[in-house]
Amino acid sequence: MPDEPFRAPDLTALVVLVRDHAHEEAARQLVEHLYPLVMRIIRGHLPKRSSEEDLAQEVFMKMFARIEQWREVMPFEHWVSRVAVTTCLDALRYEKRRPELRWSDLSETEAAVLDHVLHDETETLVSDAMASRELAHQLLATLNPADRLVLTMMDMEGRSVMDVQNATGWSMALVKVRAFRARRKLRKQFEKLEATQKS
Amino acid sequence: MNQQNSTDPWTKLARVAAKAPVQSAELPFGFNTRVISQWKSQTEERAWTLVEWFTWRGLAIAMLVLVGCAGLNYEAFFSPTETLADGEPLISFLEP
Repeated sequence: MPDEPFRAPDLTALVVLVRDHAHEEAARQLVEHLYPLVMRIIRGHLPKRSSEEDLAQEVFMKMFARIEQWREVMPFEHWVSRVAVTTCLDALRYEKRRPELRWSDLSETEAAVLDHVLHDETETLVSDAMASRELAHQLLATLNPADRLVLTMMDMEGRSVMDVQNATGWSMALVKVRAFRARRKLRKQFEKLEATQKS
Repeated sequence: MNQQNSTDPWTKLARVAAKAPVQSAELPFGFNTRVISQWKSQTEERAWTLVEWFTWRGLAIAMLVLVGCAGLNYEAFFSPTETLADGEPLISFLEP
């Protein structure tokens, strides 16, 4: 028997079923379809959080609670991304912890990565992408939630200013200013780290 | 990616970090059921809250009507009552 070609579910139809009839099967399909997107956003912004499943659940509960606010002018995935981003931002604000990063706190690989990005002028890339990612997240954790969010989206995920604007609802100018200030703060963090290495 | 100084440590670090493999995001067992049941219970809860809201308001309005009626008929309730003496015909009580 030939395999049936995969058909992506019609999200708009599913949303209408959930919104107007509280249709359980449609809601189940929505969660199944959107889970990878929601998890990618959560992991991008809160990599250290142990309860990422709880946060994903929170995102879906908000999605169902506010589903009537969605308008068809915006793709449903974009709207859900926005809900996920704002939930992450709230979680970051709730955490409040801004750890001070020192050279001695870094693992051997992370220290090697940092040494490379600080002192190696060449464009040769460091091989350990995972350690780089870990280090980048540790540095981002020293920033305030909004700055952290902007740099994660723009520099780590390669998203445009407009993407950030759509996901957060902030103005274009605000996104640019936040990114500029956040990068400046990170530059200072690098200087501080270098100082702790020397001392 | 944004146009930034390629020698800037953060730019270099972010560029490498972005290449890290992304973890797969498979739906954990039971997650779907958990979310749907929580959503359903919240919907039911919301419906009950609405019923409760109307019930309390209905009760408050009923109390107001009761107090209003009692106020309007104060005299009927609290004026000294005349009673019929034993053997007195009812007609004499009703006549002015």
